[in-house]
Amino acid sequence: MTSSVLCRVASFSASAVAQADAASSPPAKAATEQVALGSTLEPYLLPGAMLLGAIGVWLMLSRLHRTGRVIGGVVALLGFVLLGLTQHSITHSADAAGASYEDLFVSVLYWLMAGVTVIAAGATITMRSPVYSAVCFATTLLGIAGLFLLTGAQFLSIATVAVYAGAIVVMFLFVVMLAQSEGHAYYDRISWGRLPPLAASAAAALFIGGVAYLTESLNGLAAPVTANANPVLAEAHMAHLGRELFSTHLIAVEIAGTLLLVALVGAIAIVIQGRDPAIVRRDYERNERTTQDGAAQPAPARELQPAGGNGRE
Amino acid sequence: MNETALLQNYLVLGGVLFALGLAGFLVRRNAIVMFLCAEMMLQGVSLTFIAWSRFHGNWDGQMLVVFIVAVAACEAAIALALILMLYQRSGTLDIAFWQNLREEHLPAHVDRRIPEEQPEDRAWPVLTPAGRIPEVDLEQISHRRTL
Repeated sequence: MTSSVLCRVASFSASAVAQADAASSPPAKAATEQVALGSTLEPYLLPGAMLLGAIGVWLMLSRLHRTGRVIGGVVALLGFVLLGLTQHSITHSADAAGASYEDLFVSVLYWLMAGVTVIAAGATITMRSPVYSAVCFATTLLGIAGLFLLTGAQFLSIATVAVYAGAIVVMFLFVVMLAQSEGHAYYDRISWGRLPPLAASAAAALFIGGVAYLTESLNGLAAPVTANANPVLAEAHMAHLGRELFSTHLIAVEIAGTLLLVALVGAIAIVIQGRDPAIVRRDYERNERTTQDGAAQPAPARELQPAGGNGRE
Repeated sequence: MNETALLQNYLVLGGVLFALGLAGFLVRRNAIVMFLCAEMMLQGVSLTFIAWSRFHGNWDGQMLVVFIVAVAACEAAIALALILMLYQRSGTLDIAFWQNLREEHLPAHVDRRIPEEQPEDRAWPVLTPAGRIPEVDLEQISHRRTL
């Protein structure tokens, strides 16, 4: 985005220079200067972003001192800004004469939410406490929900907040607090050794660079539909989405419902199966005894349960 | 808005999320954090689906994301039950505890050096007390079971 801003600034200054030269130079000169400035900066931006991002993520992920992680975060953020510089402005459309205030607002909003999303994502993978990781992931989800809203997926935006940030992350927090109640664990401070953080951050940077490079090939592509004729952006979003969901994708909805039921049963089965077999056998024998003897004999109280709390009587 | 540029921006952002999740999944050893990273990769993919849905002006991308959310909820329920069960059996969330599941010819991972916890990481969040302190009933406390 900002590279195009730079180019625009360059073209403005070039045209100002041209006007100062008694408007003698043709507009083609300004255009060539703009292209020249853009093309001198452009080739270094993406490799620089990849390099900085890789170094930053590596510093954050290799379980160093806190200062090292903060420096890594700053470097990675710098890499993200460079990556943003390689991107085109989402508001600079070919048919409009210039960016209106509304377009500027949308652009600022986009970069704000993208920044929140990526910073929170970086914090998710680097925080040493899983609780903080989960909270940062919830922040990532809020940013993603905003991005969904910006591109016209209102229902999914709300669904992401409600289902993901509301239910799944809370479930994560429950499990963290059930399973890791004794405090900081050693395995949150180390990785698999020295090489894996380096290799993983290099792989991540290469992946991002590859995606950014490949999306450049979409440059001349004209959108199949304009924003005004886009059915996704039309009025009555929910009605259209619901009609699509329950007509074209009805079988998939049924299968998803079945899947939810199976997952529910499966989760309960896994938790029951995972208990200590000795305890399960003891409970089973106790239940057998109570059913044989009738309700006359009270079940022996378990350690952490009030007397008679067997549930069978 | 410039639709093509919007698509490109969203694709790159989805790629960034996917790559960060990938790096976290490969590097972290806490089972719960690894699972969070997998969810983050899923979110990156969702972002690209939404962007394509808008670009082409049809609903299929959004439908896929609806089902991604549903499947992610199922997956989270199953995976967290599994994690809880594994924790009950092993007493640790360290994924290296289960490295007996590796291939036979691979060497075991041994931690060379486990760094000590830094003093600044030993700080715990503090809740500010709110309201008034309740009056303590000594009679009640004497009946309360001490664990």
